[in-house]
Amino acid sequence: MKEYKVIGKSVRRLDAVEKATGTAGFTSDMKLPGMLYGKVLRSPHPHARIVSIDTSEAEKLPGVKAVATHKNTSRELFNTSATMTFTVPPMQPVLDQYIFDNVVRYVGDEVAAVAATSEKIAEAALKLIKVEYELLPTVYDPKEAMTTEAPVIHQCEMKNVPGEVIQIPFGDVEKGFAESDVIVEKEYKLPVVKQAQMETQAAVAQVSLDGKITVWCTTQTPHPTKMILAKLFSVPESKVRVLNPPYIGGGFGVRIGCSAKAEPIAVALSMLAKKPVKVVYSREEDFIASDTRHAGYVSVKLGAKKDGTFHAMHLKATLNGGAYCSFSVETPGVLGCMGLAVYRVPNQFYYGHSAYTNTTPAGAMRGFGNPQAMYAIESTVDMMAEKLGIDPLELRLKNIMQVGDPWVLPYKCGSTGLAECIEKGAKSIGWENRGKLNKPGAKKLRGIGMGVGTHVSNAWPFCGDYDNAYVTIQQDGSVHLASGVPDMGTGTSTTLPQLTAEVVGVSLDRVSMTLADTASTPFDIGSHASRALYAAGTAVVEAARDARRQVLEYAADLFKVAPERLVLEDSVIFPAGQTAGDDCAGSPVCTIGGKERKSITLKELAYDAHQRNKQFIGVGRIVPENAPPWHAHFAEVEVDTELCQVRVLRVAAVHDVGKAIHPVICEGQIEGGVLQGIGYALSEEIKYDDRGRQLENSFHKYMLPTADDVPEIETGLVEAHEPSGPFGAKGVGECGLVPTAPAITNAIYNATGIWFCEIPVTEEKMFRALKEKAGKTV
Amino acid sequence: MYLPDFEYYAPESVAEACQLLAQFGEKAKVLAGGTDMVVKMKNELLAPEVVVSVKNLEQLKKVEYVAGKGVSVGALCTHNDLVKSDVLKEKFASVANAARQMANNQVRNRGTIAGNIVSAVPSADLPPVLIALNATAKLVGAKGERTLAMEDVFAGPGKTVLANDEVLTEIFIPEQKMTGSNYIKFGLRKSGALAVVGVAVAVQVENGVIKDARVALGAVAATPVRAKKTEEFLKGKKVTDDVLAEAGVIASGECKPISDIRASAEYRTDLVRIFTKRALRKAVDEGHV
Amino acid sequence: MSSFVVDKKGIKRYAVTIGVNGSEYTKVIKANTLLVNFLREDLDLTGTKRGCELGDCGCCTVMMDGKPVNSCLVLAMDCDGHEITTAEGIQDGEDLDIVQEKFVEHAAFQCGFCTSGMIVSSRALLNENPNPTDHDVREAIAGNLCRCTGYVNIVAAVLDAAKEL
Repeated sequence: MKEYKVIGKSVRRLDAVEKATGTAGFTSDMKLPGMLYGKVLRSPHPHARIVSIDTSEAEKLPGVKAVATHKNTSRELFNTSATMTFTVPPMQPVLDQYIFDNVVRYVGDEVAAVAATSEKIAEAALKLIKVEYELLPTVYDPKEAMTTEAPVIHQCEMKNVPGEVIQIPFGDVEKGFAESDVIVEKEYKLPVVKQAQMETQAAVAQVSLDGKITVWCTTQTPHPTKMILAKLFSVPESKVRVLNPPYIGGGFGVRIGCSAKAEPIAVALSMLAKKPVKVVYSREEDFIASDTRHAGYVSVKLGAKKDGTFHAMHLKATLNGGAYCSFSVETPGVLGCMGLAVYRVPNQFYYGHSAYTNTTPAGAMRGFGNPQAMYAIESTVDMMAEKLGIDPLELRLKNIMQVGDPWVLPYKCGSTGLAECIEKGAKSIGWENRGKLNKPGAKKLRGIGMGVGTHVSNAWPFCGDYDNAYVTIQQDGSVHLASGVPDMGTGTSTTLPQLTAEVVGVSLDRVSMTLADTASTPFDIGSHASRALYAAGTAVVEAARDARRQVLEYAADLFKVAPERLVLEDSVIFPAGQTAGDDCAGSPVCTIGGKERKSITLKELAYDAHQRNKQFIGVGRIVPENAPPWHAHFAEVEVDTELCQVRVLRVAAVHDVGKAIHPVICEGQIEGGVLQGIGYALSEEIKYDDRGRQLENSFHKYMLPTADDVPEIETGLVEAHEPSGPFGAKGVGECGLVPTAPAITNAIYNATGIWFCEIPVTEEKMFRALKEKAGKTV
Repeated sequence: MYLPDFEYYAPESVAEACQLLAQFGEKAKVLAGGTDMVVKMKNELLAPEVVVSVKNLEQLKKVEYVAGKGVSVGALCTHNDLVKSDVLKEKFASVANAARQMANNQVRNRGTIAGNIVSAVPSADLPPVLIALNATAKLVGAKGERTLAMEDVFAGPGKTVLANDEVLTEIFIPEQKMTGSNYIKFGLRKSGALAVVGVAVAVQVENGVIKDARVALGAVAATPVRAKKTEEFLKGKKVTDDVLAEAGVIASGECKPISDIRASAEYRTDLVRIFTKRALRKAVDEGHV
Repeated sequence: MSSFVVDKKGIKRYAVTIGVNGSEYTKVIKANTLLVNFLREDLDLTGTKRGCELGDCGCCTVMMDGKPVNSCLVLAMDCDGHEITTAEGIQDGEDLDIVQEKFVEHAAFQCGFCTSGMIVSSRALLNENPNPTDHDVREAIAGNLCRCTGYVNIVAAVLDAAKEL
């Protein structure tokens, strides 16, 4: 195997020093001369028509420079998510939002916004806006939303269902069930949870007098966001610049497209006030008025032969899309695709969609439907194992997808290390101790459970999807990389330069990167779908190869040999077979500056080219493929049956990541995902009261795990080479969250004998379940 | 989130503070650590026109042992002052331990014992253990001072019996005949979570028999409450698992919790049962107050 | 009592002197100025972040006389005469502090938004307790939320820093 010099090594992250010293640039820290502060008036009602709106008092308040409402802003329909920029025919993007509308559809919906010389004045001005509402009927549950009695939230072909129903047939599912010996069927209920990234939605917009728009913001997708804003404000895309400054305080899917409405509102206010405007969401706004994960219902019907061979699966999802579409068409699609891709089941069917309700819009969140699917499927698989009397681990090993198996996805299963993940994880958790952990009569019960899954490494072919990159050799031989993909913490500003350095043949400290800026990078669809390294990385590798090729061709002229004979290593070019700088008689020499040389540095070569009016500009233009990462999680829990509290003691998470370009970054992605998964399983939830208000709207109420709640997390990496990925790499970003919840709920069953078909398994739910169980056994 | 405008005073003495409070009446509020009050002001639940910051009252920031009488805790001791106090660790470790279970480190560095009492949040962590230890609160007003039993300070959620011009200056924990005490809380996570239930107990055990007991419950009524029937039940009983479990059952009958987003009344009631039992067992076994 | 002037609207503005990262700053501020905004807006020290503004997330953690506090809940007036240390003040001259060095080495951050507060809390812990246990570290940073890392590398970095004190 080839020895790599830069990749595969956990080098110091290139954003480390800035972040460790508090000097890294974030949108919410920005200040421009003359900048105003924007604040948003939000609806207190879950569904209402705005009868009248009077902003005159607000406008009179000293310091107020602009007030925006549906009356004086764009009437262009849009979708805050990037779906409107990369949905490809025959699918059509659902455009159902205005910046401000005369109907509000959830508590927190935008009614108006003020730009003022200070945040405090802007907040005060909001209180002076008089709005008269006519209340409309409401619905909060996606199943109810589809009934005839429910109010219409948006006109749709099928009552309150945005876009279309996703149906994935595979084999003959009816026949499959008829031929099955054992069938398990269950419905699962899923909560609303929040990305809860640390930096709230934010944007700073500047509109120049000649109409050029610049927006620094927290988006995960600068290029698609540029397209959204150009359409919304009817300006050429060439006059819109969207960039990160350059960091984002986390994302987890919450800003694929616009950062909620921070960018559109900042631009609208900036146009009205003719000054730069900064809009930073408060934490409460971020909770109530920024996309959540889809809640809803997932049901699984699984059929198997007596020997445990899966034979048929019917998967169904009814997701709560909230008040606007966002990614509510794509999420049930990915839920179905991922749900059907883990096991080789010859007969499958998926039916899934979202439904509009009067709740906060649901959109993308880490895993994008997949955690919902796998909580339901992996719970059902454990139920099936019990019914068959087969060890759940053995049952999985028997049925997991193999390379070359036919499956529902429109690309190949080119690699899988899942069996190895399962075996490693089982060893790490001590699977053999399962069922032997409790003494009779113990009040604290321990249990072990597992869950597995796959995911994507990219969004293709589910949507339009391509990446470009430039790698330019500077005149001193150092290397500049330009890629439109952001770094929301996942390390792309380190790993993409690693790829560049490895391919070009220079050390990492010679590479610098410009990222996430539409004015200085070519189009890239952004950081989502676990794709930044896999997909943007493929473009970077292509660009770096192109630059290297140009360098070697130029050098070949000097050495008077074929370029293929030349090596570029550690910034030195020399003929193959000859060590750099060696005086090796008979080998080709190049002539530069009138001297004959055995080797030449990239620095010398680049400057020589510069003097001859040439720069090496590598361009990477690719349509990336897709590839399945695989993962197996194991959890050990302890249930205090008196307090009704679950504690996760240990998690073993083993992931097939293809080639780990930066192992510590890979592990960090997994560890963070695991903790989010623990929150999903046990503590995180946004509930609504009967007036449509979000009950958990702050970190005080929404129970994120703290450092004090973290179990021992053992991560393991399996490197099943993925032919389509850069150096064999696959996606990893979202995966840590996917199988965590079912590993925990399966462990809870193992401990207590109670299936929880609704998460999170809060103390309150455990209290009720244990009481019910005690009632039954008495 | 910005605070409304207000005038600011930082008096140098308690007397000066009382005088300011008397002068401004309802318009004024005392600001100590701010961990509760600033949040309330941001949430527009409070909008004082005058803020009287007690930051300069250094004399109220001490924990002192008064020989033969007990421990005097200055009202402006922060939670971490209590956690780290050698005097408390030696004399009333249960108070230091209760403080350690509160909020998070940043809040423990600013929040004060007085604030935890005066804000009268039903789930506050210090009042139950102070009640169990029969502590008193010294209130100083423009016209004089008075001393109340800790449990008599509270009048309802967010309400105390303090007059406008009164400042809580000292908490006094008397020497005990009690042989064991502690406070345990149940929150939805270990740190930064309000008590869903908090139970404090103090017991005097001699030769395996409970001579005296005090039980105080937090987060299960409008104010922290004594579980007096439980206390009566325990007196004279031998320490057995059954007796402690029975005490838990009685205590659960003495609380009147509400249902909220954190827990239902029914679950809280059950937690009181378990926690009373566990707190008593811990107090008996650890054998220190 | 600090001296004040009354502005045109009749609102008092008070002169305060606050030590920040070793320098003294005398400014005339309104009584309702929060420390976090004093640092970010008046001194341009944006390393101190606003994550929730209600004392729940710890992104705005600074040391006040050596102790970590949430600067979103502290009045700047209450800091008159006190010493504040922010993320920018942790550094040891040109060199990174050992805690920063270890955060860099362990990649104890991802997005970096919680990192300032996390490092302030960690440094304060080590100042007080140079030999912390795993539990001590977790307790000290439990008021600093991080959504990216699962805290694994953060705890490792702090424990590693302690070894080299």
